[in-house]
Amino acid sequence: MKTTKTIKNVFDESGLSENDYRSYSGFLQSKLSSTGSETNAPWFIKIITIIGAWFGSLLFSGSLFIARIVQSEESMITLGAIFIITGIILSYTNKKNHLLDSVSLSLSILGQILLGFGIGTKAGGIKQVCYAGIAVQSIIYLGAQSYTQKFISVMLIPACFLGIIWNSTFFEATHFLIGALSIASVLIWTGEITLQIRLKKHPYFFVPTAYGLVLGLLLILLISINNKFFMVNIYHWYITSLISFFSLTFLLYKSLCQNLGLRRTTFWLTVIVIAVILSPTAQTPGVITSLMVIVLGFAKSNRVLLTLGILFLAIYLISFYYSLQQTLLIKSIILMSTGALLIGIYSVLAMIKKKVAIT
Amino acid sequence: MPDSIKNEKFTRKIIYLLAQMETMSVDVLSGFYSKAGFKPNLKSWISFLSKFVLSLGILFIVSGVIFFFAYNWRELHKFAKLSIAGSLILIPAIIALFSDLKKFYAKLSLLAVAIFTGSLLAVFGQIYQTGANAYDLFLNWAILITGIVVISNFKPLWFLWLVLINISTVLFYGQIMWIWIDPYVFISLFAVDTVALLIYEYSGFKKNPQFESRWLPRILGFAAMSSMTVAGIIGIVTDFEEPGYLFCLILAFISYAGVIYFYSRKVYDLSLIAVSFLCIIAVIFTIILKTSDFTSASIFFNGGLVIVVLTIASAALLIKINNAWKTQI
Repeated sequence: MKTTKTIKNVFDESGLSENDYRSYSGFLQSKLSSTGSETNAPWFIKIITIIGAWFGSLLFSGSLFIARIVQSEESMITLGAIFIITGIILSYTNKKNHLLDSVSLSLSILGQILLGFGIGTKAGGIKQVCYAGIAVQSIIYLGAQSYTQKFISVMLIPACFLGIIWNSTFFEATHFLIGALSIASVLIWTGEITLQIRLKKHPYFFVPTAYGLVLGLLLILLISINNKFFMVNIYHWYITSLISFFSLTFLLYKSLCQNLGLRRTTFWLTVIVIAVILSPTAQTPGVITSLMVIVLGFAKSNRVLLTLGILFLAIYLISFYYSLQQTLLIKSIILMSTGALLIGIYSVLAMIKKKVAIT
Repeated sequence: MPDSIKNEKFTRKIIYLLAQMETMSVDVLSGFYSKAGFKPNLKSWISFLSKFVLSLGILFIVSGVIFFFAYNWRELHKFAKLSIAGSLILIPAIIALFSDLKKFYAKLSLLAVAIFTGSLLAVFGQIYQTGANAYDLFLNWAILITGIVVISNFKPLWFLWLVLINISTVLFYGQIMWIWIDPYVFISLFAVDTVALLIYEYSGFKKNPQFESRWLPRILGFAAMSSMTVAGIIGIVTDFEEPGYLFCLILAFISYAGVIYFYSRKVYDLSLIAVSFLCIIAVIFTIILKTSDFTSASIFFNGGLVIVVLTIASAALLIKINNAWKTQI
């Protein structure tokens, strides 16, 4: 899982011509030497930036309200729009030096808060805020040259769609929204290399979109944990589970059949076993979706996805067993039998492992 | 190949950078992707699935047992209860005893033994109403599993042991000394986590391959620094009514300095430096709030400004440390 090879190792093993060798290493050297660029920043810096910008913008918005600088809806909307545009413009400095990223993100968040409040109070409904939210997030997503701003937009767009769905009569459409996120997550990661090549002129798009989709998907599924916490009751969670299951099947097909050449019968047998084991959790789509993210993380050797998947799997499994309408005794029997079943699968896998080692 | 990039790891970032080349094609990039080890083979898939289902299976069984004990089965005789709890320790213990302890399933069996030891103690306390505090339970649990932890050489088990020691420390002050929020509680937690961190880093520094992974020292470092930061912030807010909090604040700054020095010069770990920067921002922000006496309206603006400025400064310093480290290697 952990990459241990160096650039030299990989280039040497690839049998490159002298020209290619020189041009690839020269290109990498020039890219890696631009140390101020956001592309080269370790992810811890992005986390610090998001935390700092979030608290900073909250405090700034507090000061604007207390100082009565924003009193009318119009002033909130105007100032909000100005801050968002300034945030986008400032993000263009990221290409060379991303030190101003926290300022641009702060302004962007502040602008979004003001704009949201302004439109909300003027239009008097959450639906209008969500429509405006989709428009604003799309502008930020397309316009800002910042990983963090695009990443937040990718997560907020589905949240706005959710707001619209929940304020309409067709709130069962939630399943298709989550399903779409699930399919998009698998497609974007399975097409990682092709997308990278296609988006070579727009390097700021892939990373925030790919990670934002997965995190947004896992977060949005939290609404399936307990319906009582939310304003709408959604009952047919098996629809979401089914879409996630199809996404998982597609992912397994890509990874096992296309990449590793696994036989079709073995593949379908694997899919059937997974379906049988996961069928009791059909009403908790978080379980199967988290599993899908874990598989995605492993298939792509991506530790961030793997960690996210494991973390959310724990949350959804706990919620699944917590919400089972059974006595503790029945719950414990279910848990222990599931455990025994999994250990049984482990023994089968151990036998297969031996066979693979022999061949 | 230029020296500056020769030893650079071929991470996902390198793939993304290479994709930006005008002449780069999908085939060449896919080749690099496979060569770098981003595409697991069948053996890795089976190995991953085995570990995954085994870990999940044992976790399910352990939680099933805990649920079983939580269920108030009055019909069962106390002998039966203790027998069940005892045999639950025995089964994984026998598996571990007759296995190579380097194997993953043996390590998981030891983890199960350690967890079931806690449930046996809980059942014992429940049956005989020993009058023991929760502190006694956690401390005895930690003491009893120490041997298993040492021989296991399994980090999750070390993590469990350290969690038990931390809980015992808090409960000792709370249930025995009758103090819950006190400088001594924070200092003790700091001492426990710092000692563990120092041992880990010392062993790692001696090039012991078992101490290569970074998740445990990161958690320990985070726990140590955050305990002192919280204590320092309490001290600032309460005007250091308890002099011990001043000591905590001093210790906090010493730990930040130590972390920044050690993880930028000796062992490269930017995450702990980032945590120390976040703690410094939190302390400075609290000092500013305190000096304005929490009343002034301008506090929001000044506070926001301070946070954004400190964030920029932290990012700049982190980039500088990152670059300095890269040129070193």
